[in-house]
Amino acid sequence: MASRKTSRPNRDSGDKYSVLLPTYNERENLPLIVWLLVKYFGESGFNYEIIVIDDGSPDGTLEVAEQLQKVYGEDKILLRPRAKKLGLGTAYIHGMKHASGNFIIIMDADLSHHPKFIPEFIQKQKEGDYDLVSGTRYRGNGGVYGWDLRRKLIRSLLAEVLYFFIFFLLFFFSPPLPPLVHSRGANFLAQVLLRPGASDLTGSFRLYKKKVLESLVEQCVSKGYVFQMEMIVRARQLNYTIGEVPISFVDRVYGESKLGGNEIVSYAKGLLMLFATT
Amino acid sequence: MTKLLQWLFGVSLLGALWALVTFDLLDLSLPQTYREVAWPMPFYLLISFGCYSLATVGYRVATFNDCEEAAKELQEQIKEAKEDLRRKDTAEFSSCAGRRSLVECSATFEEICSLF
Ligand SMILES: Nc1nc2c(ncn2[C@@H]2O[C@H](COP(=O)(O)OP(=O)(O)OP(=O)(O)O)[C@@H](O)[C@H]2O)c(=O)[nH]1
Ligand SMILES: [Mg+2]
Repeated sequence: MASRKTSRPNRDSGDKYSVLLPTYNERENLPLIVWLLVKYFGESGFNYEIIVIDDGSPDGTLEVAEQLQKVYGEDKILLRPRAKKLGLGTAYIHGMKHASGNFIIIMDADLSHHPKFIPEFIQKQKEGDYDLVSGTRYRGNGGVYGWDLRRKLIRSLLAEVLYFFIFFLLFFFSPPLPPLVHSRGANFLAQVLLRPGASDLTGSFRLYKKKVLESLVEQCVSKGYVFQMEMIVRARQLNYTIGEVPISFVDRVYGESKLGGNEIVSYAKGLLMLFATT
Repeated sequence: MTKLLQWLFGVSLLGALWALVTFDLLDLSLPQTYREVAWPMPFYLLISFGCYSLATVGYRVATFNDCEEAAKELQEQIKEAKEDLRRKDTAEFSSCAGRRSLVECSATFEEICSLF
């Protein structure tokens, strides 16, 4: 594959990055994440906008966002609120419709995804002209903070099950087997063991070409939790190229997790749904 | 055809094949060794798959990185951000005084302050 290499990130290139920040009760986190975004985009010089999609948070996240808009300008902070909590998946779709960049960055607003990785994502994307770049907690210098052994075990188990489910069950009967990411010369076994482009299936810190995201969203049927997973699965099905950047994931400091309930049950449900519909 | 159907189809095909060899359903008079190898095959496969999975999960848990540094850095930056934001909000407060009623401004200012 003839990858066009740009030796230096071209700051004056026409590229613009739209960051989608879905929020629900992130009053404490929003000013901080925006501050960090502005800091790192400022330092790296890329053209950007931040789109806040608030779902009528009762804690007044939207008012905080309005204040931030005054501080940082309406061209940098865009507010695309919705009246009530309609879920994460549709929040991305809603935000994307209003994005003016040719690249979209999706991240959580709870500070578990650090904006310092964004320049790395962009660098990576340019390196291989990747269709999407996914942050991964499970390889290289990636990792987590604030997880006990139990959670690590559960997550590792889930990751294992997910991997087999998706890459064996979903793709096994799809000839030709979709080529796995750009891994020149890697054989099948290496791909299975190293799982390029699939080491963090449920991660939600990603950079997409806007066109790619649009076509993926069109095809995705799942809602909520499984959405991220399905996006990667579909991306593989459509032969999009995937780059990976190791990220550190720091558990939220402020606010509450919106995804309570039994993680394992919701994963299982989502997987079965994918299995039955693809 | 959904993946589910494909798999059901594939699994029943393999199952039939296995039964065919193991119980010699078609009276092909296969050598005894074939049958001896065939019948415990599913268990062998299951066990080796289980072992492989246990090993990878164990390896993953053992090598899961703890990002102490990242957490510390974030804490520092949160402090920095709060100070900077407080300064910016104050500037915003004084600049909006001319445009809007003072009550409105101080309300928003108070609100921002109460955040931190
Ligand atoms: N607009 C919108 N945002 C949401 C909704 N649910 C969650 N979010 C946001 O999506 C991001 C991820 O949600 P989290 O609650 O952090 O989910 P999580 O990261 O899996 O769980 P924890 O980090 O453990 O709390 C956060 O920025 C939330 O504010 C929703 O229904 N609508
Ligand atoms: Mg989170």
